[in-house]
Amino acid sequence: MPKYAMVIDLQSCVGCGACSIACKNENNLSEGIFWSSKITETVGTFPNVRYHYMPTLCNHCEDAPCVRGCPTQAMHKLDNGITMHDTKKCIGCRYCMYNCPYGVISFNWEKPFKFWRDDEPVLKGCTPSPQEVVRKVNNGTATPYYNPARAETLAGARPKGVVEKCTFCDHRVKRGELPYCVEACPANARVFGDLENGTHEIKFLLGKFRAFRLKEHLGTKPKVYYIRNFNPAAYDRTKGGV
Amino acid sequence: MKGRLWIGLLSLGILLGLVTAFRVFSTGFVLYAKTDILVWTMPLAAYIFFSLTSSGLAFVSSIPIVFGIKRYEPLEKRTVFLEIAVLMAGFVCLIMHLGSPLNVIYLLLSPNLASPLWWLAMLYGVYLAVLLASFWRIQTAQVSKTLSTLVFLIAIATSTALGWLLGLPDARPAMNGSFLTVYFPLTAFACGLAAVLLFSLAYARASGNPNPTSAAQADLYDEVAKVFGVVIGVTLVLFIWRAIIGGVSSSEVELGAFRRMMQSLSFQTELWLGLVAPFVLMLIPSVRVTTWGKVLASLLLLVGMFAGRLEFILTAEIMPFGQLGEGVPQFVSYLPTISEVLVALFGLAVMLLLYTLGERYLNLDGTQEKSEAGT
Amino acid sequence: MEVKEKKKMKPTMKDFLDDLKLSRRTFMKASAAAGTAVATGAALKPTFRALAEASTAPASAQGEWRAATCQGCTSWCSKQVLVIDGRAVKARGNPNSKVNGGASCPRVHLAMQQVYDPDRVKTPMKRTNPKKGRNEDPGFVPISWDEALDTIADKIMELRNNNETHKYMLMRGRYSYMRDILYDRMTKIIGSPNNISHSSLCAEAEKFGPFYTEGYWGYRQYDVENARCITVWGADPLAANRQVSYYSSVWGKAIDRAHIAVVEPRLSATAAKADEWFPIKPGEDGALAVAFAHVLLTEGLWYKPFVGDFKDGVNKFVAGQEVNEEDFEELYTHGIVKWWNLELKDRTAEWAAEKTGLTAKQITRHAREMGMDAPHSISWLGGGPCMQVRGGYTAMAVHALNGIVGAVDNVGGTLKSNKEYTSKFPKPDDFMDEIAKKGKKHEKIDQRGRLQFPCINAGKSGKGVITNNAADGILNEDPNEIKVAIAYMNNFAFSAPQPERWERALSKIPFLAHITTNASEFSWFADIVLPNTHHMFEKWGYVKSIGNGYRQVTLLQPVIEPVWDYKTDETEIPWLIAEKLAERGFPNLLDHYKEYKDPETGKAPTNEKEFALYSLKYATQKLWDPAKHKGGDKFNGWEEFRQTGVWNSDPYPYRKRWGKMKKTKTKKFEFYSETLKEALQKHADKHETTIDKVLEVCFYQARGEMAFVPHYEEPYVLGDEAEYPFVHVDYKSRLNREGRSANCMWYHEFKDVDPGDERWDDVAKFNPIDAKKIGIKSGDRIRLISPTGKLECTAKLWEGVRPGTIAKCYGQGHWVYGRLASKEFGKVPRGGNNNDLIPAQYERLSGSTAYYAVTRLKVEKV
Repeated sequence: MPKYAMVIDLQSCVGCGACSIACKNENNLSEGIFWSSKITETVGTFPNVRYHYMPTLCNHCEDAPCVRGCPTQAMHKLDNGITMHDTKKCIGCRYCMYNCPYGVISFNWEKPFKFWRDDEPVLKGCTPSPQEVVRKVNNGTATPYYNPARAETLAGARPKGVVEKCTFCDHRVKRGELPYCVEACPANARVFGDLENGTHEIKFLLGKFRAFRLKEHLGTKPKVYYIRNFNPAAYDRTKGGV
Repeated sequence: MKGRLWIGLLSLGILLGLVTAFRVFSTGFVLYAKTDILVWTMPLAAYIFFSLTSSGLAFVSSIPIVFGIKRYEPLEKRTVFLEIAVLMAGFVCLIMHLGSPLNVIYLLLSPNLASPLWWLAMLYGVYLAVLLASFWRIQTAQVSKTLSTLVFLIAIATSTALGWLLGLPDARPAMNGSFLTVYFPLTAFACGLAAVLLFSLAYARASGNPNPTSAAQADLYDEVAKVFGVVIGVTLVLFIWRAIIGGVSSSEVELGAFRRMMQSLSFQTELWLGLVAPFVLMLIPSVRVTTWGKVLASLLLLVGMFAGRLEFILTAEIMPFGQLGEGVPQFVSYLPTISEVLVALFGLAVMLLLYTLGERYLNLDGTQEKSEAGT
Repeated sequence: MEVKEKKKMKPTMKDFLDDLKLSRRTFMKASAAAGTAVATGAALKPTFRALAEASTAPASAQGEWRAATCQGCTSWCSKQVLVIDGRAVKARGNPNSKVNGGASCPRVHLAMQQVYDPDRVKTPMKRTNPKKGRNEDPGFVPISWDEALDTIADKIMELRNNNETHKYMLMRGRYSYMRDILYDRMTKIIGSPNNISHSSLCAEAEKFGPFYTEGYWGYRQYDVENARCITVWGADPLAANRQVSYYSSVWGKAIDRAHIAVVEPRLSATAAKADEWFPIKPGEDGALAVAFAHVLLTEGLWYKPFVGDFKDGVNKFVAGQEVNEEDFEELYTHGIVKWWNLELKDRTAEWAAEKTGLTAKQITRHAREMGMDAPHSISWLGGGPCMQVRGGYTAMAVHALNGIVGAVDNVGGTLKSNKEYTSKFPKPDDFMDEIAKKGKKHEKIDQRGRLQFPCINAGKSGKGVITNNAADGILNEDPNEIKVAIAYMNNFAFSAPQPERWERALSKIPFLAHITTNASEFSWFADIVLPNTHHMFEKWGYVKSIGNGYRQVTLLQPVIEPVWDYKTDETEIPWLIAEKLAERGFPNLLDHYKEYKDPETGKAPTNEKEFALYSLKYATQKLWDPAKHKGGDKFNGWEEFRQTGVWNSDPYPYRKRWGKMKKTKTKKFEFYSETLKEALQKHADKHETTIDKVLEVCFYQARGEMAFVPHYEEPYVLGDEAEYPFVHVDYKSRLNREGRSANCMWYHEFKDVDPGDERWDDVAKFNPIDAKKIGIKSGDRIRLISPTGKLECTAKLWEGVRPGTIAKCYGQGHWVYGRLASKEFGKVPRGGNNNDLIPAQYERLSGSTAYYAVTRLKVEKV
């Protein structure tokens, strides 16, 4: 059985957010929900200042606190290492969100796609309402650009009252396709693969670089690894001074 | 007249609660503080408050039967009934906290034994059944020591498991780990004592059944008040140690949220109103022996503990971490929404209505003998 | 299911239904592409199967990837759109493209929210409120296409009947290369000189630098993968324009190999990914450029195989000392010594440090880096240094650095565009009657070519457009009034600086028709609004772009089922107008359009749909017709080209232009621009004056010989420093789809991918030092005020801003456009439009609008 993992090369990452937007597209994420996101930081003071960007997503921890805490096994591990959620078993207690040290789980506080449920046009008779567009384009389901592939392994659009999070695009992986954030990354900063496969590219990267994972000290054993630095700037060497 | 107004008021509370429930489950939890940062808010705090108070009442009710201190027997029936009423309030708030309460069936179909939440859910299920049975036995004057012991054991399990639930996650270092497993049962006991005093004295008086009715009973209440004072005192000591450990000698990253919370209204309410004031009241013998002194101290403690439950949850949450911290300040602030307040009031109204009905129809004052005589 | 669908589909979809069977070639390509994406061999199998299924049943849930083009910015990447049941679901880079390949910058995903934007106009509509103004609700009501086109045709015929066709005007915004049908041919055949493009709002000054040095009027491609040093000037290639997708895909590699420095007053997305950030004072780029040149020469670091050397091999470039021209033997360049003597000899690093706010040490160090890495050392010219009032010479100075280090036309250097083989549309001359010929001779409404507006683009006086000045032309009826105007995919009332002038100008035009997707600020003043197709999903067309050493011609195609009855701006609408004009006794335009015959069948178009397709096949025939193949990718016919979606040129021929730079006078790379000298002289002669006078009215400081060499000019910034303490720094969002994406939810949800910006907000960024001085903190609502306008937004303290400047992103501040773009549609903007702050100023030699270092600001709390 493969054990999937992702390596994110921060030097290749350009911080553009294409991964996160594409993720919303692929997984039909409602307003305000981000399966893929980031942690940014501006360090230093002018003119010695730098901006850093670190993409984040569910770490698919081997020892996942969210899975341990979920009372109904709605949050569970797949054999291939993916931390998966089952919408229909979710009681909406949000204990997984309380348990997750990474803040990557979202709750559906309301019915999804509020924007698209609006039935007011801005120019009566001349422009449609969002609801009308969804009705015409996609029989009233979710959004006009709704991706039906998502529904193969999870509710296509999650109802209110349940949590949701990144699934490493299990529906795509199942078909032999890469997670969509990986495919959509213009910088090839995300490398996906099987840790059990010794010849695989991610094994190469994990051997070549001193990879780190988020909050490693917690022992959750995340399966998202980071290598190199967002800003590997060159500088003039000195010994400093007193 | 007064009674009708009271029932009317409670019915209104329940009606508002039902309307809120309808709105929350039709529109969604947007009616709550609705951010993935403040994921647990007042409805859950209210649930914790009620369920811990219920556990505390169980400790009180087990004194005469489990530990055989017979002079506490007059408190037994009211206390057990209160446990049920308060637990129901807790359930109301819990349901209002769950996004998809209909899916709870999966607790049985797909259990996760590693989850404290699953254990709590199971324990509460058993707890309610045992409590009802236990009350039935009291009502029918066939007090069962086995059932009462079970109630006591489950109460210990639930109040400590709540500490497990909230304190365990590595994600929330500000919760100070295992502290809660001690603090929760202790404060539960304090709440139980407060509830007993409050409902025995104040409620009875308000409903026109002056209490205590005998000198023996008066002595009993004074003794309860003394124990109450001691428990508050111990709690206060623990509380202060928590403040020292978390607020003074910790690193900001680990417990920054707690430091921040120390300045919050809920923390201050918990400390001054909920612990210091009742402790002082119960320390002064001349106040302790008065009914108003006991009632005031009990009320303050319960209000303070309610704030405390909220404070604990917020401590875990106000410092957003990871990607949740993007574009938000280092600490987020929380003000309950109207719906959230209504949920807490819903629970309270359910509890009070149940209790009022109990007082009216079940002769909660009665000892076994009396109830035997009554039937 | 398929049968049902066929019935439902509109004629444009028919073409696709005919092609549902993927050709074997495309299929192999598609699966190969997927194969490279999925690295594991085991994983390849299911993909293969999935694609196999898709090829037999494309209407299945899997959908089909169809070739398209993204015009979200002017990178013009080739894309593919996943279409499921006629519906666009997602997009990705077209793996067949050698320019961008499979890479896609973030803005492509927003296209889904654009094409299905609920606030797109779904029907032609007309104004019912005769009063025009920002505060006048136009009272738009829906009308039929017939009524709309009849009205337009009547208005045009009125002009023709009155012999005043020069009062017709066509305004162009985002275009494809089908543009000439509407922009050029229709305007000419009607008989007007007034086809006004948006180009000078874009970056004409940027082309000024390379043209007057190496004779190339166009955007460059930068060979970053082979570069060892990259100096980026006021460009943000990882965020905005051009080839964002391509540069994003190779930047990680570029950092591995090259030393990268970014010259920019604010910490840009690219600066965040560079070795070094030069937080320069706005407008002082020229000082830094000439100082770099000075150091390169004094330290003997110029690239001798390109520039040549002193005859005796001894470097005589010593600070402050003139050099004898005879001592230096130049190879492929012209005037290095003249340039030194006129400008560079005193431009020391110390001198520049004072001007730029940088340190001499930093300047010297980087100049050495540039020189040591020669010739693989790019000086990357962006819009920042040159879209300024005195930016023309800065553009030259920055680009001239490429000459010094020999990076021009070289490996790891700056490249021009490769050859492509599209054809022009048939000539209009035979269809221009006397009225048209007479009408066309009038002066253009933007006043280009006048003494103060040389617009000497590509060496010719008055050749370039000066878009933003057209508003003044209309307002002052100078050279004449405008009575009938058609505009498409432009929004000058939002996108041009000092847009309030456009509001008044447009109100003044008696009849204005606007072809647009969304009712924009511009539409607000229109009499008729026509719903346009969305370029990426609904339109036939093609565009060309360069990058990665290749040029591509990528197709725009109707790939989805349109939701409403939109028609295409550049083909269908002019055809339909031509039909209406023919009905009214003026058949010339329609007759002309009928010449655009289908190269495969020789058939003339009979309706607008055929016209749209035939004209595209006509223009691209040499790319897809194997019999006419001239180079680059070869196809077996139109169908294969259409499905592939992109034609790639041959690879870049390095160093073929050394000594053969066709458009410069000397055929060499000119440090002393004989080409500019001639162009300026011609313009001066035209107006019977001197070059010095021309420079004076164009606000330039140079006189005499200085006019012909790249040199430093002090920035020309409006506003008194005492009253307006801050300099405005404008920049573009990596989510801007040319100012058209503010109605996309994802724009606001992800606005913080621009370093320093916030989600769901429009923030003006202050350095904390400045903020403290004026008592402002993050989150404060503030008003920014320039000498010509103001806006309201939110303050944000950020270290990535140079003290003394305020950086604010362009893109928000729409007061119409849609429910998210505006706070209250038609009334209250969401955020602030930077153009409200920027005065209508120009780099007059190119006609370019000035956006940078052009105005000072003051701040008020709201």
